[in-house]
Amino acid sequence: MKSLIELRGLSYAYPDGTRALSELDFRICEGERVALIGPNGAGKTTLLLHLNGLILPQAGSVRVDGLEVKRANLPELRRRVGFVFQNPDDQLFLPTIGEDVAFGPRNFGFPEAEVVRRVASALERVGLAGREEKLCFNLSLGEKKRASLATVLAGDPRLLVFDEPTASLDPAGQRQIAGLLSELDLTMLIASHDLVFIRKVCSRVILLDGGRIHADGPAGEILDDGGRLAAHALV
Amino acid sequence: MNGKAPAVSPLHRLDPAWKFGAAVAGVLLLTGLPAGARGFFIAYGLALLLLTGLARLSPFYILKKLLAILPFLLLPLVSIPFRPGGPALFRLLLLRSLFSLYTLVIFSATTSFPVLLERLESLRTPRLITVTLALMYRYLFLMAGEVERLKRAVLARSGRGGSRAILRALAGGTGQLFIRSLERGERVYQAMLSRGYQGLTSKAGSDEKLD
Repeated sequence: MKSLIELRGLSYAYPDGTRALSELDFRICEGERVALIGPNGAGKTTLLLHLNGLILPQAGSVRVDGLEVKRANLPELRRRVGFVFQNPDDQLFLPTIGEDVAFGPRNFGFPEAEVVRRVASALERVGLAGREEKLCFNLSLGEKKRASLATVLAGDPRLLVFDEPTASLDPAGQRQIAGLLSELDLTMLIASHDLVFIRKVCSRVILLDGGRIHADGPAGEILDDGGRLAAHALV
Repeated sequence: MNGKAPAVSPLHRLDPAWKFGAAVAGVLLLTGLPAGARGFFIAYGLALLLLTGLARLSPFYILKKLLAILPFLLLPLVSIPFRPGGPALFRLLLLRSLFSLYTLVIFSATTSFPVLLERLESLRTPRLITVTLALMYRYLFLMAGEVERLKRAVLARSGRGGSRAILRALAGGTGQLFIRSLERGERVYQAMLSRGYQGLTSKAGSDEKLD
């Protein structure tokens, strides 16, 4: 299997000296859906931000789809990595959904006819077909989350990265997101605290705490180990 | 500015670019007119009333909007009536401000903002301006939401604090609001970078750059 994400000795410290990540090593293969779990402050978001170069590695290296994460590769990396942020109000910044979903493809330089086609198809994939004209601030949280997903799908990425995709959603909304992600045939790395959701969507789990990997294996095995989850404030 | 104005009248359906042009021309005209042009002011006022009827806007709606904005306009004018020759000047400025506001209220009530942006873009308005307007429009609602939440949080814990304590908390909250907006701005910028933002690209994909 071709590896899509490859971390080698990745370390990161915040400007104040706090170590956020310490010598992380792992590989994620094409087609895998991997959950990143860990208590608050474990370093999950910091790790995710490395994947499309919003943070550049201080020590060690990150490769995504064969491309090393470094300044020269940023435009190409951002085309290949779809990043869905935790708060959809940060992700949806233009007045209408259609405009917002078109933002990525336009930046990637697609001709206007192709942009329109991609917007329609992305909205259809998340169950918002024909809602291009809808105003972003009028959407429910569930709809906003799905619209956020559409904004990255429209760029046709190779890897999807999520930060807490089900946070503050009602159970029906959580199920809907889980259903949508399970149907997508894409490699995913999902940071989440929602263990029920992870069981449904992911086959592999990486447990991060204090910037180190404490477990990495099949989802069922790690999620059934109540003692370990409790030790890392996850149950 | 309302979101999607439903096309309930001919004025709503009129091309937003024409409306925009007419509103700007109206306001410019008002600012240039001398106090003596009484006939014109009367004609302009009548035209405004006619447009209100045509757009089927309720007089209460117009009044509410005018009253909401008027204090901000009056504030810089308060000292004028006490100067020599002041009262006449005050009347003129008040009339101009009121009519300008009235013009803009009719414009905003009958025009959907996203459609206006699209039209402005098709008229080759620099993308820097349309993008700034679009972001401003979107974040106006988020800011309003944050203010509302802040107010609720203050009120929920203000108990017997009295209005002075509430006011003080809200004043402190303004600083909070500023920091929150700044942080949000940073997160939004990250989200934009993640989707390939490298400056301003026009719709046709040409490379008009911001920096």
